[in-house]
Amino acid sequence: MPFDAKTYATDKEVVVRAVGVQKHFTRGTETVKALRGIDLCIYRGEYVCVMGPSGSGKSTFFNMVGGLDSPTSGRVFMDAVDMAQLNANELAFLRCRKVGYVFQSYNLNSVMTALDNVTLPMVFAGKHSDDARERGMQLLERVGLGERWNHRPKEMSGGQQQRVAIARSLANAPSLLLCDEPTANLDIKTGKEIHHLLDTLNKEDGVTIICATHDYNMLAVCDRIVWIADGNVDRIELSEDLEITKASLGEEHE
Amino acid sequence: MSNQKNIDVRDQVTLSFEKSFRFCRKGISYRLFRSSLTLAVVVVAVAFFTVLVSESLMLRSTSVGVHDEMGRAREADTTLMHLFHRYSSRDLSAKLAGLKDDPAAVAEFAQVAGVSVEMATDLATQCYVEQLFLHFFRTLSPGKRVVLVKKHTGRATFEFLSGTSEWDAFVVDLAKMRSVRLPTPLETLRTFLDNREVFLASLQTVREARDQTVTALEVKLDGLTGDADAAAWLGQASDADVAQWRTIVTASGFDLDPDAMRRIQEVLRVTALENRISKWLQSPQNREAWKVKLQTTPGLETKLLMLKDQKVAALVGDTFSAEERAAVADRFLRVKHLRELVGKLPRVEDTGVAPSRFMDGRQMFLVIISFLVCMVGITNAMLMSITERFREIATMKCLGATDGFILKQFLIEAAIQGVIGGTAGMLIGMIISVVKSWILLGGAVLAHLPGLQMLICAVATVVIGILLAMLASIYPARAAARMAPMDAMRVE
Repeated sequence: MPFDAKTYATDKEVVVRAVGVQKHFTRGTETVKALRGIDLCIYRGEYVCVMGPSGSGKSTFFNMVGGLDSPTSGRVFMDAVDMAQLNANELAFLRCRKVGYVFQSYNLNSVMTALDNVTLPMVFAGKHSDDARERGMQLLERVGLGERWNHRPKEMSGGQQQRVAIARSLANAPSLLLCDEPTANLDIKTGKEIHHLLDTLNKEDGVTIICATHDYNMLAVCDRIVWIADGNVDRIELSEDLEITKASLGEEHE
Repeated sequence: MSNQKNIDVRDQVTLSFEKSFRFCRKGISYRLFRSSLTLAVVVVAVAFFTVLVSESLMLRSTSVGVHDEMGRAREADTTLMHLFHRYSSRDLSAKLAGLKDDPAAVAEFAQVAGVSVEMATDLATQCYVEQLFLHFFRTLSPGKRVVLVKKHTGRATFEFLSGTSEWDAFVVDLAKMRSVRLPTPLETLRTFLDNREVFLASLQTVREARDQTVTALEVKLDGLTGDADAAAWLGQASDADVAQWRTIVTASGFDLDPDAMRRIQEVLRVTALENRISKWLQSPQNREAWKVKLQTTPGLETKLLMLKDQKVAALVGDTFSAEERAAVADRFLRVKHLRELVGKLPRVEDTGVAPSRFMDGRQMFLVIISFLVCMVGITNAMLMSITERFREIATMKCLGATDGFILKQFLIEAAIQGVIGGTAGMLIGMIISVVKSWILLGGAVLAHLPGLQMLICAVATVVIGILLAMLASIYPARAAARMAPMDAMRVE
């Protein structure tokens, strides 16, 4: 069954809407068209995987959605706000409260403890430090690291660091969680734990997740898969349509 | 489709200084090695600057102090000279120029010369202008002087400039020389030149009047002292005689207070004693005695220095008492020590019109170069540190840090390094300069340590360290603030 946006979207709230997004980079005299006009809606509470070979424009699209870069033409709405019209400070504000980022290389501040890392976005959002600590502890417990709040990133394993990073991305209760290959640096077992964590967050807490990945295990837990090729949306599939998904889903839940 | 910007950034927070500061402190303590490079650069530059400045301060202060002491040691001579010297017109101008800011001295001069205080004050002011321009023309570089006033020097310069065509040419030439600054506005010089004839005439009148008073005083004193030289007579006179001598002097208009008189008398007594001892030491029979005792005949200076020695005591003991010998030897030693110090110290200009320079051009140049090198070093170290920390900075921007926060953070980091580096550099510089001056001049430096000035210098150097570090960090900090947040996604 081909994907039909209209039937899928019935009475679902839109978090991100990309309309005709194009992005051109100029390298010397040559213009590289990284995105050639992407239209996409992401709905609240959804878990979307973005797949595509490297150089397909996947990362560029990601930057657009996360408010890290602005499109050459087209618009990206985040909770009905057109991000192309925001200035640097407004973008910072938006990144602080509306988007949570999970990076491939964790990007934790190595000077700070796990708790300090988690509370950092709340500090930027101006939250009172006691409240921030309380919420930070809750989040760390949510990702299963309540005991290790006083450890520094160097004293933790990759999987644990990524959990801290996920807790950090949830700090300001963002509308959207943006994960850039969150399991690429992890072994299969820890990768699965991260998948499981993201899945739980999605299913239990209703966090909207967009995840760029090469990891087919990831597809098992998501709702939709967006395939990007050559700067265009190649196809969109519902994960229940995929054979492999069903098999791994079964494994996952055993 | 909605098009509006329904985002409200008014509640975007600016982080408090205290929070930003804590942030930086953690960062610095963690990246200690990279920070220490920046620190080292600041330390070296500030230390260099401190050495130059504080050494200059100490030498100046010591120089002033030593010259003061020298002045006190010579007080008797200068006072007697003040009383009996007959000035030439040129010397009188220099002397009066020096009195300009001392109303009591001007009043005394007016009394001695028999003129009104107003006239003396006016004359002193004019002398000051004359000395100012004499100094100006004297210190002008030879090339410029030839252009401005041909080959004329001293008072002939003024005569030359009095000519109308010469004056016009001078004004034109002066306007062309942008680097030459007159010590006063041009009109002051013009007025001075216009009144020059009258000025020289009144200077002459005053000079003669003063000479008459001095001659009259000498005649009066001769009645008391006979033919004897004033210094020698005062050195041996009784207190009553000295008091009488002072009464005669003050009657002529001189201002000689009893305290000064007592100091002078004391010194003159020792000097008289020294003269007697010298004469005695140089007598033929004593020469023989020295030879027998010491197998050699030392010069007079050595003999005076040895007055406190035990061997010499045996030789001299009967003729002069131990106290007498000690007084002479001590004063001789002190004057000798002062004279040595003055020889080592930089000259303090005492023209009365131009303060001595604080730092010469070459030192200024060195300081500026060292600051530039320091700033380039700091900028470089900071840029490297920012390149290394691209991921951290970009991540912070992803988490909602504004450009302003990143900028502030790096500037605070620079300021902290400036404080630490500046303080360390200042301490090192102070120690080096004190030790250096101490080796050169000995205890005199510590005796004349310019405490307040050194303190100001210390504070100023720390401030300079902070400013240097912050100035040099503006560019790197801006580079960091402009870094794209998507760099956080970059994988190496």
